[in-house]
Amino acid sequence: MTGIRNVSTPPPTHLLHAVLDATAEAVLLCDGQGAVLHANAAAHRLLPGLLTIREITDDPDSFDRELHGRPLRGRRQPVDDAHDVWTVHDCTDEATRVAAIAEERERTAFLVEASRRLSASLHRGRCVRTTVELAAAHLADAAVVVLPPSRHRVEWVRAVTGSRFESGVMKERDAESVPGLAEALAGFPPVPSRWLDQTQVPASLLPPGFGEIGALLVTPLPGNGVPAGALILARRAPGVFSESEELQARIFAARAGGAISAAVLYQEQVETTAILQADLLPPELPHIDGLELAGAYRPAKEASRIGGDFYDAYPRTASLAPSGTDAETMIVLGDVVGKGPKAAVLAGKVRQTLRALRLLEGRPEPLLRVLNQALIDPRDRTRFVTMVLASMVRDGDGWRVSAASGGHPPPLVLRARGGIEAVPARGTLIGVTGPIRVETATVRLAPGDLLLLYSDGLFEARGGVGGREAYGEDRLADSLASCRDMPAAAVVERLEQLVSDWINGAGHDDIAMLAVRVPPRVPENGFHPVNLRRVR
Amino acid sequence: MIDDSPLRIHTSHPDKATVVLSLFGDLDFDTAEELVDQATRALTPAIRAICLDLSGLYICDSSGLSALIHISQDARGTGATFTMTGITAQLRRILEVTGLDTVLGTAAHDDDRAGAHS
Repeated sequence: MTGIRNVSTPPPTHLLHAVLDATAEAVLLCDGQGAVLHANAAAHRLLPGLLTIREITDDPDSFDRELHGRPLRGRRQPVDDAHDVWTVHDCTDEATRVAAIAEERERTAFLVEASRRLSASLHRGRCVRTTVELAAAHLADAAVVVLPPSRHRVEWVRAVTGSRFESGVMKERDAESVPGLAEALAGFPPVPSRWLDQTQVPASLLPPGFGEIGALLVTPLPGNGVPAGALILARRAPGVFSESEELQARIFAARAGGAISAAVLYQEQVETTAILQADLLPPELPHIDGLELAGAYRPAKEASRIGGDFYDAYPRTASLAPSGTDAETMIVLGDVVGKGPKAAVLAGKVRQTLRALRLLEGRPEPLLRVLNQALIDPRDRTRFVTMVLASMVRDGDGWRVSAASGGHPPPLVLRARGGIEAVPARGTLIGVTGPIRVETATVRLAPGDLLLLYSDGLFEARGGVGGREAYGEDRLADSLASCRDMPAAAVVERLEQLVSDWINGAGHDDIAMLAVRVPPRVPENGFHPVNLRRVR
Repeated sequence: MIDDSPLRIHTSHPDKATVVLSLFGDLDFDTAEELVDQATRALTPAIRAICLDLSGLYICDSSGLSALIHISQDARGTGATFTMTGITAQLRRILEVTGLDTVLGTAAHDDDRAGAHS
């Protein structure tokens, strides 16, 4: 059996006092009127010189109040008709814990909010601005982000609590006079704020009228290997940064630095892509006397604006060939297997090779054979390109076209008098097999006739009522037939519109078109046809 | 089996040395790699012949053609024969335009055989 055994004889009074003194809680023995008859050691410490409980409370049973800077909780327990025991508890520790939990929750909420806002944008400027705004609102009276130096200058962005943000540029030398900033920009761990001499801060760092700086905290903004910059936090005198606040600033800086460096990386990639794709986009078509040229290009991936289809036109130039013959006017439209950047790179390679080869060889058929040899990659025999290559020479009031096909759908001719003809050029695709079969077809374009080169994305475009039906070669021919008497640019635009309506917003392969039209005969009234060019 | 997949591939072995891949759906940019992977796995040293049954093919784009070239070359590399059956009129047209009918050596009587099945 467990429990405390009853003792028949009570212990001496001095021992009972010693027991009371040993408890941490203040214990007071009072009479019926509240006068203190006895107080233990804790009561003497907590309530020195207390004569009656009525000094503290009017409530006969309990109290909760602050005394001598401490939150106290008192409870009465009657002992007998004439005596009460008051126990008084010091709640300081509990209050501290509650406050700490509340503070911690607030910090977590801030960091969650900061992460959410920082990850909302991949724009560097916006990330930096969000960083200073958040820091000025939650961490200090003023916040400055200093970006890594470039050509001995540093960009800065700052915000003071409650006012709008500002930005500017300062000399690297001036920035280095801010205590701890050079170290932070070099990526060293932050120096505790109490070690930084805030009187060394150059006046230009904060706006005029900010007042005396009480405390300064300089933290690196960690990036990908190199710092994304540094965050300077300032508090007006007599403010200080506690250790937990410094820790919070460091966690915030880590997130801000991550967001800023991701934005920088993204921006660099966007710039690189822009530079590369400038050379991969369809060229502006040249002006060729006696021909209307119009091209349209719609890559499968609208966002990147590059793809595997390409077209080009080369005006007649004096050849570098030893024979001294002139390179004829030439047009080409091709389609590289696949989509996106990989296809675009091969398309660029084909275009450059063609550009060089045509100076030496003006006939489409041998040119395709040489190109085939140049493009065969023994390591990857699955990457190919199909194309139509046509040389054009003047033939009276029209043009004679010799078209060779490297495995590409046949070009179509829309006659001025009406009717569609397919140019019977046939051949093997380019870049897969050593010997290729090429059959050149010759066709004459009279005034008003139009020749259309196109990629298979045009007739393979899926859409229609069920969304799965291909546009098809027949529908394409019908569409083209409806373009009689239209200028080349209008034909291309109309076909693009018809296919676009057919697809109705669904995905599609790269689509490219190149239309060449011999201007119709000038009527007696003196109307002059214009050479229309269009590049999308 | 995922029915939503734009391409379904059914593998069968008429005999120990032959594998037949029957394709249903779309062979395009999104699915070409899947076919190449399956064919590569199917081409074990024991296989002497690989056959693609294309009668269930709805779409075949340039990436699909690239996959066919890839598999035919893989087959050649392992010494296996490569054949295609069930070539639809539409695919036949694509193979002719691109000149792949001669490159891939599709048998001229394929159309007759496809006709005989139907």
